[in-house]
Amino acid sequence: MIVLRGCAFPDDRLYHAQHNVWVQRGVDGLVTLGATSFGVALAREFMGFVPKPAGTVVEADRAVGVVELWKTMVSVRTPVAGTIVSGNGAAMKDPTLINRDPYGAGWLVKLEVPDWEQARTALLEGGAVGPAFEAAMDLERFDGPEDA
Amino acid sequence: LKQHLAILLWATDPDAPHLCATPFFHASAAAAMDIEVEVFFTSKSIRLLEKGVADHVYVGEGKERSVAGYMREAHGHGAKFFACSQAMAAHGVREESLIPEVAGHAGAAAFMARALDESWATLSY
Repeated sequence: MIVLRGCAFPDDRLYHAQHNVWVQRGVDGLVTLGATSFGVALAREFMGFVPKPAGTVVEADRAVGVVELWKTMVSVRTPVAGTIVSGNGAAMKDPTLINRDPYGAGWLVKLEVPDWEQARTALLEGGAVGPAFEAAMDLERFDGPEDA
Repeated sequence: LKQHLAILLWATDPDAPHLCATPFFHASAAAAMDIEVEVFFTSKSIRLLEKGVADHVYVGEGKERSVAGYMREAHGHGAKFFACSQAMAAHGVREESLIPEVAGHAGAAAFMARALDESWATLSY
């Protein structure tokens, strides 16, 4: 696990710094997407989450849903193309789940990704994660979560 | 899922500030989902497109964020703003006073075309 300025990045998944999301392929072949702890720290408090409906085909870098923050709306963008299989109903009912457990119960959507090997080339893993998110944090002038 | 949304602003009047944020918040939500959003400003809503007006309209007592902030967010997500020429004439809004976010002029006929097109959803405020 990498920890950058108070934000954890578990080793068991892949990342995309621009969209501030993690991606993990499960044993069932489905790809789960969620917000990073850095994204959560920037957002502060999630007040709503609405995914696009199951069955929606999305291209890479397009929205799979939207999160409502305090007086602002933010797109949730996927770095990999695929078909939305499900949104996290628990996070829709209680968006604070995303704050409390972004790498677990606060996941956002599951996707069926037809060409995983090609799709994963757009993602960061291993030693590439730290420098990319350090740069993203510099860009946001982020020193750490407010409650850290 | 419809991919297009046309919003008509008719009663979103800067003299009734408490009504002025919601339409743009909804426009932001739709545009953030990659939905094509068009906002048609008519009647006294046209005044929100005048430079400086929305910057001084606040929804709540706290004055944390002006209506211009909500408008800029919606525009930043990709929403397009259209000014009704007849409303401009009726309320004395001059072309040169329009904010740069205005994409063009469109009035009743343009909005009706959207309303009658089944691929577009429409909302009125």
